[in-house]
Amino acid sequence: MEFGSFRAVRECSFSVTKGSITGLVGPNGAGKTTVFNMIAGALRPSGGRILYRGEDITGLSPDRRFHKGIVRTFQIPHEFQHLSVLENLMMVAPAQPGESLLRNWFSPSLVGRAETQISRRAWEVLEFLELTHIADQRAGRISGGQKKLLELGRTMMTDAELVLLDEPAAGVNRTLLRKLEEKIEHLNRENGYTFILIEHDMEMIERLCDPVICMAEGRVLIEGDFQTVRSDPHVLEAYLGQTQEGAA
Amino acid sequence: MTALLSIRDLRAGYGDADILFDVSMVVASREIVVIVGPNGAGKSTAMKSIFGLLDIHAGSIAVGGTDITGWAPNQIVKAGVCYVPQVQNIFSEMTVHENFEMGAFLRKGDYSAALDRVYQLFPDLKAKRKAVAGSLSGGQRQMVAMGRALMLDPQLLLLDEPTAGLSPKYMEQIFQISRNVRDTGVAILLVEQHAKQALAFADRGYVLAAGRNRHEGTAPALLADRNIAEMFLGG
Repeated sequence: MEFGSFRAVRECSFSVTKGSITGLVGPNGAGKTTVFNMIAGALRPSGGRILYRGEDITGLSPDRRFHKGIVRTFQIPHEFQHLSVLENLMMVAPAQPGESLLRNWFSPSLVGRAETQISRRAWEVLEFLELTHIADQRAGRISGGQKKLLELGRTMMTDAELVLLDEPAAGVNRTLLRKLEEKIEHLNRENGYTFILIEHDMEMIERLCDPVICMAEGRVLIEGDFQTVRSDPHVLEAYLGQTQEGAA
Repeated sequence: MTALLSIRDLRAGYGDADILFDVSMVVASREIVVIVGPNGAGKSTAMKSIFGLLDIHAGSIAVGGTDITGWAPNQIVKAGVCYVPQVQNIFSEMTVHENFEMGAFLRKGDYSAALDRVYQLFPDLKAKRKAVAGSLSGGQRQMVAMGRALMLDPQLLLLDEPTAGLSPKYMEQIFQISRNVRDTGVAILLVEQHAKQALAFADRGYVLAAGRNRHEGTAPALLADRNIAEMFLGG
């Protein structure tokens, strides 16, 4: 996947290798989420191109991109408040036969089988995220951190190729976060998912990401492995602050 | 230790459902206390209960010896407690200065001294005082929210995950500023997921899990406990 020259985020170009976990860091307001919006199709760049597996997807709608395997999470969770936690997960699975009225009438057993399968997968996701005890609760009523986990869970409900995670760590308990890191690594290694990760938690970035891209004011400031980015004087100045210097 | 805030056997939640079960906590004046714990442990619920935003089913909350259980938020503010929620905590269409003035809404008379003090605590915001708050970066918005809450000279400041979504640089700054706020005589009770970093600057901590008190102690003791670190602080 490649970015041409964006004007919305000011000539921001980078590419992401298949099978990598790329970290996207930078100060608040650097344009990281805007980049996600453009990859996922929520925003159209005013200039430049986005290539996905060699194909120009700049003009594609978000749902077409979803069907091509591009899945994202939001920094501020977008749950269906009045559906249960379980239903929120089951919603995600694409091409459910139950969505067709005719199939519901004429092949109810097919619809039933598919739904059982989707529900089983949803329960597995809930188990992993330690959310089974709130499966039946309305998603609007669960805690802020639990909503973040549900957000992440939705990406596990589909066979994605490229997963965009927008600050998965914010508001998530650190012990659980370490487990999430393992899951991300597993999905990356075993299922071949490619990840782009926006995150301020430097421990998470260090453990998972190679390469790391640091953005500032809509541009790529530096790209490289974690140590290179972390010890860059511009990154220290603009992003990490002086106290990190000793740690680097 | 004289308790500024004293919570005893609190049961509270949304509507009829309890989320907190017999939670007890104290905060002394000029103390920084952090609440940590897994997601859904009831940390934010505890904060909202203290500030009168939720239904309290049993137990009591006292500030400076006065029982405030069941009081409305505007009365609790007058008892010396101010609260900074996790999201939607500023008037984003207003300028920084107007946000601070809104913070003084309940004050009677001259508030220029409070305003001076807030600008002293947040010198970066002085240059930005005419900027629309919504245009600021995440870290600066958090500072506006804290400054607005401090306009009423609270004895106790409640902060719900003040560093969520902030860059490492701003996280350090928010913690440093919190210390400066404490040095002006304000006690702080905060919820944090950056548990290790928060405990490094706090005096004491409580670990909540599934709506109950699980551990408590001085910050160094909690940090040194391997079990707690592994189960709650991310190893």
